[in-house]
Amino acid sequence: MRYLPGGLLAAATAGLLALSLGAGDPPGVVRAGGKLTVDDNTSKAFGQHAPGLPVRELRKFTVGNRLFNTNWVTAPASVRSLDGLGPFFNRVSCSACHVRDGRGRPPVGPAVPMMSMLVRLSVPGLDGKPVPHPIYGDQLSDRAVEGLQPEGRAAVTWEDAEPFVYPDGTAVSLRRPRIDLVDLTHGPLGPDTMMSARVANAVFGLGLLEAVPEADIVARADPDDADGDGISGRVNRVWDHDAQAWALGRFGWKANQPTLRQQAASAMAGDVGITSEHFAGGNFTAAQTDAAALPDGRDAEGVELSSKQLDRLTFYLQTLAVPAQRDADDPAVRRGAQGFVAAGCNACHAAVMRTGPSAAHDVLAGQTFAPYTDLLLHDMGPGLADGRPDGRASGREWRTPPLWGLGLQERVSGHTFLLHDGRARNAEEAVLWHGGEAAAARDRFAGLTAGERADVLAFLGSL
Amino acid sequence: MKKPPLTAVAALFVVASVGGCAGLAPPREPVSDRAVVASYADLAARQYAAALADARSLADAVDTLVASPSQATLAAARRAWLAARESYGVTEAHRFYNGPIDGVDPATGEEGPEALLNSWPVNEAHLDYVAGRPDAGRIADAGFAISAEAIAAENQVSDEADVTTGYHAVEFLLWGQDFSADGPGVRPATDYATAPHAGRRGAYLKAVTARLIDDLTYVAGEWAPGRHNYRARFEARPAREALADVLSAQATLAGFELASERIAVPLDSGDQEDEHSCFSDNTHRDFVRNLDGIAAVWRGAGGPGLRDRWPADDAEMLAVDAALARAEALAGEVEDHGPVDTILASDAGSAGRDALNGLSDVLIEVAEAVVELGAASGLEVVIGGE
Repeated sequence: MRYLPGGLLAAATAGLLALSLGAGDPPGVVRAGGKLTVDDNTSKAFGQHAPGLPVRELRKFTVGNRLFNTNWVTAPASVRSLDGLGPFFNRVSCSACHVRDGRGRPPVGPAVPMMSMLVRLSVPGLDGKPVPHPIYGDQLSDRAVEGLQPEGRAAVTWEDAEPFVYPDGTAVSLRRPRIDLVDLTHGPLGPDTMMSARVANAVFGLGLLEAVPEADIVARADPDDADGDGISGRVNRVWDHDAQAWALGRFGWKANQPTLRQQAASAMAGDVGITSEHFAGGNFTAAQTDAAALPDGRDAEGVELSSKQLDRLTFYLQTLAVPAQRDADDPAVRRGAQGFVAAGCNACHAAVMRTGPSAAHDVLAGQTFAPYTDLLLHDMGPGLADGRPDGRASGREWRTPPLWGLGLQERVSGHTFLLHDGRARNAEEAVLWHGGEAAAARDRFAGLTAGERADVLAFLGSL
Repeated sequence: MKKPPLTAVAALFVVASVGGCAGLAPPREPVSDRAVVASYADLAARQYAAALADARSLADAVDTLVASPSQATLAAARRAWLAARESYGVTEAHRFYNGPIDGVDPATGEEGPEALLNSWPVNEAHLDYVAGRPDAGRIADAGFAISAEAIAAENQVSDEADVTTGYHAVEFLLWGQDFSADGPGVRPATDYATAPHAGRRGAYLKAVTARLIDDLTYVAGEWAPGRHNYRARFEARPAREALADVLSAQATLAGFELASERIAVPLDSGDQEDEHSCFSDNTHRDFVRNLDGIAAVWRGAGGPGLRDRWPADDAEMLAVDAALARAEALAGEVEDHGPVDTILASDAGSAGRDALNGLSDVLIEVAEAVVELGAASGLEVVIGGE
């Protein structure tokens, strides 16, 4: 078992304790979203605009919000600027999966459709690197416009996984999903198809994550584990269409999108079938001639989502606020913060990040905030692996998800399912699934007393 | 005694001090924070009680419609809905500070009913038939058991657009979709008599109206005097804090909700029907009544208003006065240009569009003025909103 050196532990604990204090604290204490923090514990906690946004900019936020909530309709429709759904899609709006800007959930059983989850697809390419499936593309579309059959649907069956047994003998049951793709309408998938089912991520605080200087993220990376701590965070490098260059990936379960603008455009295209400048081809492959024959909603710019609309949508995503920590002074929360550090969770779930001196918007610049992520890829072990590489991310790697807002998920989204496929029914299960680079930290958590573990969970619940 | 000249001068001052003479009115004493907060709480209680009473009248009209559907009873139900919106509209000035309407009730852990009362836009096809889809919606779905609980439990669960309850669900059930630039929806009374699913439609309408009453009863109860409720906690808070919250609410309602969400978005979205009360074409009244709500809080109604807390010559307070008066004038102008969808359908540069744009701009000035006032007075006034 490896522990942090004493001095570092003390410093990290002090830092985290400083974090765990809430509003009205002495200066120098880090709030969850810096100046973008809101005190909100209602179901709207993830949907507030950044408090410092000038009132005259609110119009951009609300228009972006409107676009986020827009139910796109089949073309041609009476509102030309908001048509062009599909022809293949998963949901008709962003908010349908990211309900109240929160996290999605998996279906409870095989007969229930995915409402806020999707299945990514790929096959090995000529050089072994994965490419989109030649017929079904890089994502299964389980809905289609009238007159077209959807590509297929995912049936999720929950199976027991090996229970985790604490040193004291207490067992925690764990489960994993078996995903079967059924009712396929354009031929079989083929034996070497890679699949990865993922729930929708929450979308608040992303402007802050986008504004962290690349050098700071790279500085935390340790691809060869040079410091020998068992953790080898790596960066993903992905193509940035706007910059026409390779860039650091930050967004998505495997950090495969470099900017919010591209993340939004890619999601609009892949999930709703709405074309835009760099995703102009339509949500179907050359093999899907039935889809290609249908009308689209292209407007003056030759795409369905105009550049200005995409700007507004991006602005909305960039300026969503972060809810403040609750119950920071609760003794269990304070003890849990110490336990979080002692177990080494913050090695990847980094407690503090800073944005650069300039950012897309003034309100994002120069902020110190607490996302609990290093934005790096980590091998989480065979149990969590999806076997589907993405960019430089291997089939066993996942980007560290941020932990802010964790305790509000139930209020906002009505559930507490965690991890990429929602297999963890609560935070405890999520921790116990940690393997690979995170196995040591998980073991340290497991080695705590039941009371100490409850404190750590209380701390997580305060975020 | 040789008093008269002095007495005469004194008399002049006395007359002046009761304001009878040429502009020599003395400064009004500012009202204490506590008195302003108490007056505000009283206002909230009265306004929610009025909204509840009008909702009950709406329920009566709905019962009559469902029992004997006809053009006349449908028209009466529509009038009752419009009247109920008048009293609800002013209460929106009590949102945005986690009061009973939208905060988490510490006793129950439940959230206030704002989303259940006033969410929009309604996903019409999720509720009832729409053009081209005669069997759409929960009403046509025999597998969905209609009850107030089932309906509320479904509200915005898997999609924020799936609004199943509240004023706009009732509105949709009374008017139907609006395809006209010249008038509101034209749902026929036969929808409650002989049309497919008429019985279920009537049951659904009664259930959502009953839910309105339940929700308003809760909020009115939380503002009622003399109970262990929100009002008691509100009045026990440091008055400055409560005052800052109420000011923040006015700034948020004006600058975020009205100016941006309800005006700028429809102007920018290109969708003629992107208006708050799109089925009834009543959005212009929503604007007017929301402003009436802000005005009632600001100027007071039956008691001191927020403005009375400042000296009569306070520059920042007067700036709010001025901006609010301009906003009210523009809201009246917008109303003169006809229903909002007519304005939205008109070309860029039309008088109606200019008025609506102007209203949005002035509402932002109101919000800015309120924030300025707060800053100048050491009160933390914040514009919120999601």
